[in-house]
Amino acid sequence: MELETQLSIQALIDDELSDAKKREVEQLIATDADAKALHTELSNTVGALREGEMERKLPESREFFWSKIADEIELSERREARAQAKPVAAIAWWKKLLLPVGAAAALVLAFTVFQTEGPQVVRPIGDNLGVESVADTELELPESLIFDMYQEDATVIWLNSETDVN
Amino acid sequence: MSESIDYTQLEDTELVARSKDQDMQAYEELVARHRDKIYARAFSMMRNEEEALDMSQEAWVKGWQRLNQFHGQASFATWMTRITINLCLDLIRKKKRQRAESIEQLDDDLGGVERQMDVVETNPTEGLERQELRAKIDRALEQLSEAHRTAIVMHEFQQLEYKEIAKRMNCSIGTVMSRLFYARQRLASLLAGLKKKDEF
Repeated sequence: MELETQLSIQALIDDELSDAKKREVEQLIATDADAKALHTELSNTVGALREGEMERKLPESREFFWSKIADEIELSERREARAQAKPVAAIAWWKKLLLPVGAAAALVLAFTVFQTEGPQVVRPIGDNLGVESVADTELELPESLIFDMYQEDATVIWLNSETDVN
Repeated sequence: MSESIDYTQLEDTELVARSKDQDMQAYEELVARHRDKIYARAFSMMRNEEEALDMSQEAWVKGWQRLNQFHGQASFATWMTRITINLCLDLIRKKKRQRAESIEQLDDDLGGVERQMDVVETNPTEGLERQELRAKIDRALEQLSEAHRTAIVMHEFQQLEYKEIAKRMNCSIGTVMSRLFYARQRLASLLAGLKKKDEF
């Protein structure tokens, strides 16, 4: 008998056939002795197996078995909580790092600004001359200065003699 | 408040509902009620006490973690045995990989034998008491390969359809049919042999 036919007989017992195929296989069993014998054997085996599996007692006391389960549940929940807390902890870590780094950066920035602009002192030369402001560098003279004298209706251009005009 | 509740008097559905609300005592009662069945199913699959214990313990932990996925379509015990079977299948696959063998090759290896087996026409289990019959089937199951035994356990004890077994065993429906067929013929032959042996 073909394996396909044997499997069809089995599928009939397992109720896995379409109605048309079911009728076809039933017809075969009714007319073919080998098919009938196989059907009987498979039915007997399936019938025996339907009596169920061997009953077995778990070889540990209720308390001991449960304590292992409860411990494992607790452990896995702790693990999960730790895993969930990780991104929050990472943010907290960054925050902790950000505070001193930010403060240091602010200090460096302030110092740089002071270094660049600090030495230039702007002083008024005199109100009677109508001079608004003049940059007087105590440490280093500028190459040139231009300012307006409103009362005299004139513009003063001052050149530093030490400037290389070439 | 929970001290006043007699959990042994509650139905499974009530215990499941309480367990979903993180009531560990309710879950402990569910474990106590079904632990033998879960262990028996794990043993049927693994045929090893230590592995069956590990698998059933792991199944109960997984059961707790996945309780919210249980919506009562099947009974709680059926749902738990499915988790157990899946865990056992994972372990079987892992063991197979470790032994550098493929579970899928078993049918090819045994294909020739399937066609050579004689049909057992008499019923070897006729007249046996239920417990005696179960013990004989258990001894016969022991002698099947993991792939064939798994197919039998899932079909006969878990009442899964071909399609479902194929999905779980990660093989085709044809392979499931072939495994079941070979396993049943082998069981019939083994049971007949066991009967003869017992008669002497």
